[in-house]
Amino acid sequence: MALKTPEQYEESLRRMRFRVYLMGERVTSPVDHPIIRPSMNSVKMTYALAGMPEHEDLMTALSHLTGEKINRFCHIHQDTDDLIKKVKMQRLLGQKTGACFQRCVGMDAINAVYSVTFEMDRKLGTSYHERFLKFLRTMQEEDWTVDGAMTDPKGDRGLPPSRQADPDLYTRVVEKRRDGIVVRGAKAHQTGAVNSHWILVMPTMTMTAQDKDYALAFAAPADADGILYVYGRQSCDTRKLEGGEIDVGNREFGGHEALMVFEDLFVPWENVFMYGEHEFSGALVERFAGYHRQSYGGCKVGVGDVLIGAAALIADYNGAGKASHIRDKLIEMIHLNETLYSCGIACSAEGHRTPSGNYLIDLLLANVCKQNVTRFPYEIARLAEDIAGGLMVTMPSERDLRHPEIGKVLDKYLRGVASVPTEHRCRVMRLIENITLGTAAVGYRTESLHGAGSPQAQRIMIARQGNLEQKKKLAKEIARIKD
Amino acid sequence: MEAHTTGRFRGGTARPASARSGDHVIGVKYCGGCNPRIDRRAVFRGLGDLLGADRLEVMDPERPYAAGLLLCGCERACADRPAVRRRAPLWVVVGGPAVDGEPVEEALLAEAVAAKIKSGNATPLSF
Ligand SMILES: Cc1cc2nc3c(=O)[nH]c(=O)nc-3n(C[C@H](O)[C@H](O)[C@H](O)COP(=O)(O)OP(=O)(O)OC[C@H]3O[C@@H](n4cnc5c(N)ncnc54)[C@H](O)[C@@H]3O)c2cc1C
Repeated sequence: MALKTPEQYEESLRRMRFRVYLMGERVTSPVDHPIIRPSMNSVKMTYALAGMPEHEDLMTALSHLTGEKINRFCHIHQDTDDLIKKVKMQRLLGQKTGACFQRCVGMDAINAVYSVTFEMDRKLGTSYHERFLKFLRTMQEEDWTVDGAMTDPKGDRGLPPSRQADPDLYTRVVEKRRDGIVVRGAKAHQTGAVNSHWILVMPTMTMTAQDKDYALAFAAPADADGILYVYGRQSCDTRKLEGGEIDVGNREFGGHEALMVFEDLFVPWENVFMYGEHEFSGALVERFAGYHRQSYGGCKVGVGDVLIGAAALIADYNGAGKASHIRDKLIEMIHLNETLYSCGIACSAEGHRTPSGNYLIDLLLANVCKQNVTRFPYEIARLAEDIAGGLMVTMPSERDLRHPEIGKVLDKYLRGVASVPTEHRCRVMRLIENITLGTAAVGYRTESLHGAGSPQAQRIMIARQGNLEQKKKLAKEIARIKD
Repeated sequence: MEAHTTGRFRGGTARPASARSGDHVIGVKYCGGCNPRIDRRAVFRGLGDLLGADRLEVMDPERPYAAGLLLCGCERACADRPAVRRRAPLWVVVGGPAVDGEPVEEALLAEAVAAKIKSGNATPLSF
């Protein structure tokens, strides 16, 4: 069964035994929790679209291991066409959910671990790649959602892992056994963790010899004994407990992050893919981050499409849709959004083959993509708020709209264009609020800034990859400078 | 622009093997639909109305077809690949509001495709 139906996905999650806390309480069934469920629906959409003929061309691929049709989220990129399709698939999913659909981190992690373990084995004579292939094969056959877990809590940013006041602030091995290792520490901001079947853990940064205990990669079942989750709050999240559908902005879909804590988690050797080989930690971080920076050229663009659509709708409902400055602002939003997409496509088209056979994006262009992503969604959001007007943050609640007396007053005074029902206007206002400063803003704004690395991380990569010396040579040639 | 299916999980429209008839069936291959400029499903439905629903099916990669229809959301027509083209000797390509590269209004796409198929004017395999 290489492709799960959406229903099978939900059922498979329901069978898992996560230890997850949300607002001070243990959640017994995450799938059914009103705050968590919309995020599950987003992941579920990655299964649903894979089963639809009008989307399968992007959503599925043929496994290079088995020849079977699999979900693209489980696929190892075989050429630049795969890299391009990945970005298009992410745009599609952003459009369909208007939120973070969470499954990209796992896809980016498997592609990074795939090539790095191959290179480790070639140089060191280890057998990590073989182990990883076994994991990958099962992931593809079972159509798993995998959480790519890289970011450690990191404590004092000015100190390396081994010099932290508390050594657990970076994930590390605390015991080596004959049959495996025992891991302690945590991963912060884990996207889709509680909607995942497995986790794939990677080191958070380039490790030196002194920090080799922290150069660690492994996989584990997401509900393994020894993993605790504390679910992250999102702005306006408790609106989901109110039972309505307007004030949440996006009733069906959302994203989530959680703090993932390893309380002496046992990992058998067969699931360990890096253990102290610190000299390969940098490549793993760089490749995972590179793939993930490419991802944002798809997913954020899809959500941007929804936001631009909402801004255009509200302009119509407000009666300002024909104003020249409004049209110009919509053009600017499209321009910014398509620039992000161009970067996502460009770094994919310029991808190259790694020694393991899979394809890696062009790292310079992927970093340029993500650097733009740290900025443009903010400007798109600003323009959407400009077009929407103040009502998107001052609007009374859905209960007031539905109130037998107050509702009539609101229906009268919140109306824009006479022919458009007030409720339609309110719904679009709330959708804009949701993406720009509600639950979905976690994904559309702050994740755009910090996800896959804060802006400075890209600037470092751009500096490294920018080929400045060649540019100086070009200038000298044109200026006829002879040293 | 294509209708979004947000919130409703719909299955595919491929018919079971038992429902397939003979050589006159046209195999339809969709692109992935990342940013469609037309409603591809509406074109499929419109064409079914014009030619008869039993003449169209979502392409089964295991089966040869007398003719194929590529239903792509934009001019890029990214599903137009040699491996796809090899599944049928004759093709009509809808890429956004265009049929085989000729601009056609979205509302008239199904008619334009039907006319091509009826006149036997589909494009021979070109890869
Ligand atoms: C919504 C969201 C989803 C995410 N999803 C995932 C996920 O699924 N998996 C995952 O592994 N990670 C995930 N991340 C984590 C993401 O990669 C990190 O947020 C990012 O790497 C920044 O780390 P930080 O949050 O600890 O911020 P910090 O590292 O504390 O950065 C804050 C600021 O300090 C600066 N800074 C930090 N350290 C130094 C230093 N040593 N010297 C100088 N300046 C410094 C940074 O440049 C930045 O400006 C997610 C993050 C967000 C916000």
